[in-house]
Amino acid sequence: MKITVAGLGYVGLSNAILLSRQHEVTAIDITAARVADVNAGRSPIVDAECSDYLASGALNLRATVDPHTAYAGAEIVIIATPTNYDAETHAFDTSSIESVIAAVTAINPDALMVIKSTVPVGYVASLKARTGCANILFSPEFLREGRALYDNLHPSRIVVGEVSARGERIAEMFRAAAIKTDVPVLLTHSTEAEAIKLFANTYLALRVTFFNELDTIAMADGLDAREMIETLCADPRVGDHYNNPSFGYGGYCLPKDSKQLLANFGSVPQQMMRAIVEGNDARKAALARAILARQPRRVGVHRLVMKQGSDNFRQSAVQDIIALLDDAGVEMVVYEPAWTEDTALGHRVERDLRSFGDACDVIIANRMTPDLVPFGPKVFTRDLFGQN
Amino acid sequence: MRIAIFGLGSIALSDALALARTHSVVMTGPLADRVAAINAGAYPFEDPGLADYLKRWPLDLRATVNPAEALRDAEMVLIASPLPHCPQTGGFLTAELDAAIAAAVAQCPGVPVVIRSAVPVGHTCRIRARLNAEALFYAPEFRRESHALTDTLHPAQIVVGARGEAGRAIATVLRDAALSDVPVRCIGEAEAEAVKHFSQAYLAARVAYFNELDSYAMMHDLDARQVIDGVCLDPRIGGGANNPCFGFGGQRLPRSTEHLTDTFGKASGARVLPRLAEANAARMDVLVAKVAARGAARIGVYRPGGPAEFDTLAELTKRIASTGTRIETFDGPEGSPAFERFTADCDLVLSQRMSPALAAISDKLFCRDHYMT
Repeated sequence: MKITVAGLGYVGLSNAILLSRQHEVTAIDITAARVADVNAGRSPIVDAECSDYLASGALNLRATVDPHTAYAGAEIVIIATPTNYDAETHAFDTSSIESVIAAVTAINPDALMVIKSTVPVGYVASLKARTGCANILFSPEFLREGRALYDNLHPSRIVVGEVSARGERIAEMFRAAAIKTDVPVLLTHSTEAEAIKLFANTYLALRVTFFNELDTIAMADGLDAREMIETLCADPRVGDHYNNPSFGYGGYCLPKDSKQLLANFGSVPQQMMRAIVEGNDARKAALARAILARQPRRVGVHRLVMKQGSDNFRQSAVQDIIALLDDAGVEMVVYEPAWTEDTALGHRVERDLRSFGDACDVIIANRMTPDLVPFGPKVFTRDLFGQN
Repeated sequence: MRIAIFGLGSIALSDALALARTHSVVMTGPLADRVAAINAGAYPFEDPGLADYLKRWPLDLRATVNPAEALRDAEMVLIASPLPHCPQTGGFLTAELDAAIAAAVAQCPGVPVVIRSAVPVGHTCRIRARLNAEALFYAPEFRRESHALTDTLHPAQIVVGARGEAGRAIATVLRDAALSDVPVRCIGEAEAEAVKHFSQAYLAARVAYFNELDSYAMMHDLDARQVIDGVCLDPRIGGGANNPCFGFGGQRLPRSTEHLTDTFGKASGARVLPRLAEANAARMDVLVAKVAARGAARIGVYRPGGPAEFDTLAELTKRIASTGTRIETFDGPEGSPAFERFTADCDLVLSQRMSPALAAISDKLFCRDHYMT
């Protein structure tokens, strides 16, 4: 089957690789460098499995910047372009999706378009009504950054937002592309599928916030958070995962998805949705207060990335802590080997860990790493378990 | 060993049943009819594993209304007295529990006294200081209300709020009451007290979350079950405690969330914990609006088993009654002629949980149970 994937971010790239193990796949992106990377067998994102598969040369995959080359003759177009959350309109910016749809409709109107980008609840139904185009369905992705291809090869479930024969065909295409067998498949209505994505990520945001609040309380009252979390999570109803205190949930998905869902609620009475969004800000404020209570002369910021093994700076929680410390007039130095410029967020970037550590009296780190051990009590972290 | 247990409720009974396999256990509490039932071997307690357990194990277990008799020669005392809710302050009424501890400490000096009820954070420490009771401990339990005995015999862990040797000695007794090999965790006392409430609060947050998902689905005419199924297929989210209801209720969840909020929530800048009670109120607003939209002149409330503390169905009923709608309540068994009359008489029937008999009248039913659990 001829498949085109629009967008070479981690969702698009991992889907392109996944499907090109069995199908003829063309990927399209507006960034020429990403296209060149893929055609040269290099991964434009940090993802071990993506790099391995691209380097293997065993994929039926090529990339282009040209819409005609990409869309002509494709039976299926997977849309995986970015939909950033717009804080002013309180909604995802879906314009990139609509540009792809316009191009596909003009070049190859018979292609079936499958939206993988995260969209507001109710988006596809209103889009179909607005454009009159019926060849669109939504299928949410459930990928972790840095493990995108792995999660595509071993999906927790496949959800397709259309209860129809072609919905079944799309589900079967993804199921057949996975390595894992016995993957549950769920065909739902389109709005329900959109809601699944946002409610799943917002639940994870709730979980992170719950354990962060436990930690904030423990910190304020001198309780041992580790003992409490280990005890709480030995209960199988709670489960021992996603419970390591942090500077707040961050990354590309959780902050924007929880805000989008809160906006989607509109006038529907709720308290949890707002608490999940506000709880993340309250956590950062509590941590900033705890850092300031140490009366630091100069704070060192250890890493700007959200997770170990990720190259993603977007929406990392530490950036908001930096902003809060900025407001308090604290001097800061940043240690981030993956940063190419001399300053980050208005602060000097230091690439030598030793001189970075010596220059600061408090080092803040979302995650504890072995390289921080020599700095002992200077390190301010809430990481209890040394893992993402 | 002789063990005295204060309390006749499900926490006390499940401990007593499990310990009485290997120890001589005497329970005590002021309710004479419960005491008589226990002495007759008719345990006022529901658990799917109870009948089999009683058949299999001979028990050395009796009860008395006289605390002094229960405490005679006791080598260990468990305190599982009820902690009623104070409607004025919203806090716990600890008088009965405190009196039990005082009696145990007075009659059995030096004997370990272990609190099992979910006391307020810091309570064990305060009572120890007040009574100069060195051997007072707190050990939380994490059982499901409906499976209290099963979860005592096969717990995920044994937790005692005392680090070191003293904690381990108590943990060993509690662990030996289990039938499976379980890990033991000896942690700080305040940590143990707090984690008990956090565990209830986690479940409350989960219930509240899925209720808000259901509210959203209801207001937008979505199939809530499709959404919940899709969300919970994520192994990090999982199943259980995800079936919508009229709000989290019962004795435990609302009280723990309230206690945590009062103790810590406001000062710490937490947002989720202090909002849990309000989440129940927001849920109620949605339910009231949806019931009103059905325009029923006569509303039936199906409540098998009668009312309970923190009953969210009762709250919903009260809210609807305040609009002047006629309400009829039925608490008998479904399928009976009286049940048939009740459902025929009403334009709309409210029920917390779904059942096959209720499914048969689905066009006049208001129920948010999507899984019949």
